[in-house]
Amino acid sequence: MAGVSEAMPGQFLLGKLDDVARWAQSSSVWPLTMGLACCAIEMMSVTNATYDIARFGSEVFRASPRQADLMIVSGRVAQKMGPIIKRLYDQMADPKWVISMGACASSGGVFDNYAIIQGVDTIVPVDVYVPGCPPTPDGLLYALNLIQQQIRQGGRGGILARA
Amino acid sequence: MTEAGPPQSVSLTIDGTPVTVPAGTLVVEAAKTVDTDVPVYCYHPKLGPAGLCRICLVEIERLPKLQIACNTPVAEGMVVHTHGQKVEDGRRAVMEFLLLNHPLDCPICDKGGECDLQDFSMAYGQGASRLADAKASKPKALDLGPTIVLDDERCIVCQRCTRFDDIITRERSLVVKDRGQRDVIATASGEPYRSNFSGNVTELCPVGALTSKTYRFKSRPWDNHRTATTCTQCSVGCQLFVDERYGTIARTMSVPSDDAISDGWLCDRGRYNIGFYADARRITAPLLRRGEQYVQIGWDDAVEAWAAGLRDALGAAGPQAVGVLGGGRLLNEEIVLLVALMQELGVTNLDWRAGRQRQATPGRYAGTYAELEAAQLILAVGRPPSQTAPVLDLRIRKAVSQRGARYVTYGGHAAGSFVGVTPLRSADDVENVLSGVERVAVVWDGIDLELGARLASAIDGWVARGVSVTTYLSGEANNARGAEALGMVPRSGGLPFTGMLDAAQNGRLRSLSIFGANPVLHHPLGGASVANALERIPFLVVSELFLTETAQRAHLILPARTGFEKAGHVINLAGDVLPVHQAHAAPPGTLADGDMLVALAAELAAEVPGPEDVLARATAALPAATHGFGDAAYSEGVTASKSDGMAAGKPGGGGLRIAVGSDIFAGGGTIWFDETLAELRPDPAATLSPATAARLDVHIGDRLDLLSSSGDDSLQGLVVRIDAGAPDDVVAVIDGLPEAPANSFADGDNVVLGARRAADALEPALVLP
Amino acid sequence: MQSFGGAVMALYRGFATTLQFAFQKKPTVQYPSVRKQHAPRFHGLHELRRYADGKERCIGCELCAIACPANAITVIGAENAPDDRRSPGERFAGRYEIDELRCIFCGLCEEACPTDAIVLTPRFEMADYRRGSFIYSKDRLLVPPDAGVGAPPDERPGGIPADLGWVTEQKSTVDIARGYDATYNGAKLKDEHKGLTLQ
Repeated sequence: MAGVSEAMPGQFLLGKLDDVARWAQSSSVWPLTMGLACCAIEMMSVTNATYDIARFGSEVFRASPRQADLMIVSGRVAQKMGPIIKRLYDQMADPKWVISMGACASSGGVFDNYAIIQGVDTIVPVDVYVPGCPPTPDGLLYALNLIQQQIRQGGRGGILARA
Repeated sequence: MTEAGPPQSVSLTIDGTPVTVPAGTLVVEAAKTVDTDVPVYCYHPKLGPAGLCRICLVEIERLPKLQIACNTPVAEGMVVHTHGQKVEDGRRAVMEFLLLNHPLDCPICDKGGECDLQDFSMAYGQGASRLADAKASKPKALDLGPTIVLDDERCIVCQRCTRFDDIITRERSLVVKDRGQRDVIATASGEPYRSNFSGNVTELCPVGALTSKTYRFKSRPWDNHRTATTCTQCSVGCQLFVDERYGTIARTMSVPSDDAISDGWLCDRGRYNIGFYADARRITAPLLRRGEQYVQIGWDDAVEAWAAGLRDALGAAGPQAVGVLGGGRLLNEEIVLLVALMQELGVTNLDWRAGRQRQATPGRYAGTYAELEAAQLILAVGRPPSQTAPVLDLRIRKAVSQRGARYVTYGGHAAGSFVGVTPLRSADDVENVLSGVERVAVVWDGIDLELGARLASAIDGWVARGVSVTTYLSGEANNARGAEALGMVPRSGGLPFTGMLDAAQNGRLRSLSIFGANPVLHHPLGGASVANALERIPFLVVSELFLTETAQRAHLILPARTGFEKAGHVINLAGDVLPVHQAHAAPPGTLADGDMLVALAAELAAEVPGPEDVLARATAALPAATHGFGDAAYSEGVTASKSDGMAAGKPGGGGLRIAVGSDIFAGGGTIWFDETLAELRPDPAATLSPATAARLDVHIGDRLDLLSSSGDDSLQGLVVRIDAGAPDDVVAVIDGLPEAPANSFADGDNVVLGARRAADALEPALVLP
Repeated sequence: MQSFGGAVMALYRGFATTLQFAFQKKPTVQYPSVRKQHAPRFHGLHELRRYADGKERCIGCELCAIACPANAITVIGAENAPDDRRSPGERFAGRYEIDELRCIFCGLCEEACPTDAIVLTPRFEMADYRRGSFIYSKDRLLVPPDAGVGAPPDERPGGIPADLGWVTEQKSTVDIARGYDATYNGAKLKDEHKGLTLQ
């Protein structure tokens, strides 16, 4: 790489900026303050000292969707909740990400019935699914890491997304 | 207590509830009238008591010991307790003995989840066995026959299977071999267990000893989605349960309460021929011929092409240039639609007779199954009911063995009856056996119309003498009676199928639509000539499941649905209008014939009756028939089919005559696309009488080639079988085998010029004078 | 009105608590470089076990599938071929699939299993980007052939066990006390982070 950077210094600099921007964005993924059911308890506990989501820059749970980057759908999505989630997602500013947390949000889980939407991905695009009932806080952190990884590699959404 | 009721009824008390039942009723049956459960293994209402398993112990007051409910008739004033400490203790002890050698392999046992032994162990068994020694070790996963797997360790020797084989089928091939804890279920001969009703033993078995090969490890009872429907394999119309799982049919089960039609039994064809539904050879898109090839097209295009073809034919040569064949395998609703649409178009060339069967409505003496069972004399004319209507044959066996009826046959071949049967050779014989008989049931195959007409006049004579006669027609197609009743017959000057073939040969038929029929393989005019005629039709449409011999000649092939894949009604041979329910999702891309017809009617802008009207017509009660067997109405324009006239016994040309019989595993076509039943398909065989075999110098197992008198046709590689009951100078072959089609010999050309031993190529062909 | 002294005391008390924790050991688990060791009974990703001789424990009986409250398990039985025996007995799981996205990790499958074939491991990192990747079939559930535990049931000639009841006696159940080591994937998880685990 050294040879390339000497031959084409401008491009080398651009490359670094790209990475810095992605790093900055991946380290400030702010979740939306939104809990739906039991999974929300585990979602809240990622902010406590044991798991400390602040280490990843995501401790800032925003109450306004316009200030949030990440929607953690934590819990079962009732048919009545569907339009609200859709609206919240639409109100979030791009780029935005969605984690479907737990069995119910991802697929309906045990609630295979008329009241529950069988997977939140039928109403909003989901970036990462987390199985579990509920998933452990570190399971959610792993999912956040996957989102960060995606941003750093220039995956879907994010500044300077590759595709 | 005084005798209050009529003398034949008995009053007793069961669990504190007074009940009155007919005298002679068993306690176990009487207990069913009150809300209690008496566990049974060996007892079965249709097999009677055996007193083998002892689980049905009940307490009867004033009797010192517990009694078995299944073998104790009720008595006046009897006080029965079906539950209580004493009874439970007794059953627990019995259960311990039954479980002594029973393996603990419920998780891998197909019966697990619907097993009486499991249920009663939960109710009466104790948690642990007190047996210190190792359990008895017996053969497991034993191949008992082509359909049944036996696990001897699981057997509790209730003998339901052997008693079924003895009492119900009268075949007596299953026995209990050895004694004590070494006893096993086996065939008496040591040969594989082959029976047309073998599947019933798996249902009778209260444990997992006898299980079906086709259902082996496929599913669990709680996974199955069950639908009750009507079997559409033959014209008996047995009620059955279809168990579906993950979109495939796991198994079918009999309906034990169906006393009126199936008597609670199913034949193996109806039970096991389910593999074809999921066969990879199913046609799943309409196919249009382009030159020598077929191209897959969509349904819209297919219906458009169909309508265009019909319009062209109608426009060019009028309705008489258009024909429709089929109906024997359609549902009533579809037949109503088809007939209505053709009427709308002015088409009169309608026929359902795609095979040898000519008539399907028995006429003015039509009887019910109960009347058949009550007959004193049962006369089977033509093909044996054991092959055309197996469950009907089971009823004949029941009438003979349990009700003392006499079974006689005229023509055809009595082999495989398993009950005393007298083959009659002349009309005088028939009159002789009739003397002193009050109730006669006549089963005819509907093939030889001339024979049918003679039979009809004989029946009229018997009725005039005061004999009560019921008639039955067991034919080839399952809903032939529905097709006939709903008007799928040549109307007002229209051509029957043979006439249509003639017209096709002369270039006068411009379009033919065939629904669920394979005349190239089954029509007695001969496969070659039918195929030749079909190829001359400018626009041939075939609605089929598979690329059959007939479908291969079509210009447009429509992928159809069948049996458990559509809903409607059929009419069975006893005239019952039976519902068919959809039990299985059909492969995508296929359509029920009714839906195709609705689409066609819309494309042609033709007026067809609406759903309510169709349903009303399809389920309407059958009109009272006034004709009899072999009526002139059926022979109009029909070349009399005499290919099955074995009884006529007039060998022509000095050679052999060919007689075409049927086999339950040959007709209908679906069996050839069901790989799970490959072992049950009949081999192409030539059945000869011993004298004929001696004359031809062939032995059992030899291969025989038959040459027709015209010299053009031949049937090759038939395995020789010798049957002492077969008439001389006749070769009996089976209809509907694709590898050796019996209709290779055209109708009227059924005189065999010669036969030669195929295996010995060096020997000159043996040509008979 | 609070006195000035009282206000100072309140401040002192408050900051003293903070100060007290400043010198204590930090409770934060430095995930992802360190994984928290969950309770021994933790229910994570499933695995299908084998016997020590490499045969699959699963006999395809479908009891887990019926026990599953979320209908996440699909089992279709198949028959062992004499020359290719996958499991003791006549039957094995021709298809075994768990939809981990629907699974609620309740462990009822583990309870229902008569041969202790299906067990839940401590693996919790299952999140993924694609929905389809959560259908775990036998290729991902089954442990390697050399990772079997426990003696297989007695086999008679023909490979059929005299009695599957023996399996229950001989099965080596997941030892709660051994925690992570009890399952293949749990032990692997521990090995991956040897020396890094804090608690």
